Amino acid sequence: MRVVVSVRLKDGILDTAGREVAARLQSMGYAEVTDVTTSKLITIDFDSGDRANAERRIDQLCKDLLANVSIEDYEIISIE
Amino acid sequence: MNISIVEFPNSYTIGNLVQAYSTFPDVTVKKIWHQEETIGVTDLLVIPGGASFADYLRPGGLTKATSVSAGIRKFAQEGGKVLGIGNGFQILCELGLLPGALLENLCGHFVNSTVNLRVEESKISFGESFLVGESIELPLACRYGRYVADTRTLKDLEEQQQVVFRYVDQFGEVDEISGNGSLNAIAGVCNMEGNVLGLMAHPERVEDIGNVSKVLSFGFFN
Repeated sequence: MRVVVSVRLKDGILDTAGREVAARLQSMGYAEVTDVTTSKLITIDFDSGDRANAERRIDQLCKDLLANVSIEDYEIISIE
Repeated sequence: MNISIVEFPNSYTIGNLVQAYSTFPDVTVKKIWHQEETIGVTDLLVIPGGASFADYLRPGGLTKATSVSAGIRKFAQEGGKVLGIGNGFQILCELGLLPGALLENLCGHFVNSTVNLRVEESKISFGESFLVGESIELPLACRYGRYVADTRTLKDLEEQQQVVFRYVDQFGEVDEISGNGSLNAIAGVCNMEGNVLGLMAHPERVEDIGNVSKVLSFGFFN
């Protein structure tokens, strides 16, 4: 199965890349842009026939490595 | 004195460290490759700067998956002295040996400059020749040097005297901007026990190592 995970900075922690992209969009005339948040999308091919088990394992590997949970939130976007 | 330096792929400041330590009297330097599992007997373990694993995922993040990471944790938890410089500071935070994390500089780009660090009253003593309140000038070369921690952690760091260095201006006043936007202008922290220290600036790149040998030796020499 293929799993897509999103990792982004927690709310309240300044996302410098998002801040810069928002400023550039506004300078291009997109005045309605008020904020931009960037995130990483990580695609994992996962050898498991058991979806529930896969979700548990993915959740754990996010905590163990993909995200630094002191500053980042993660979310499983899709499992196909 | 025996000093061990952990080497990860792309720990490119090791050469500067070895050169700096070679100026110390009676020092033996050993490198430990990241695939080794144990640290062995050493007086000081140094986690160098650079961009381990090319900063993939996030600076220092992938070092959690190395064999040596368990050895570093064990060495620190048994009271061994550990010094992390630059990327080494990021790695110690990632390994959970220091609180907080380091994010992209407030300015959003790589900073290569000289900064002033004020020695704070902390759990780490560098000896009488390196007094609390004294400022030292050190090179800073990083993109991910903005120290962050949640409000409670910051409060604990201040109350427990774990802030070892703070960015200050030329007059010794706290300066959060030149120090890449770090919260409370924090430039270096130690753990609760005072045996693990991390800082973003690079004392090993100073021309006159004698002035900063107290930092590089974790107070062994004064």
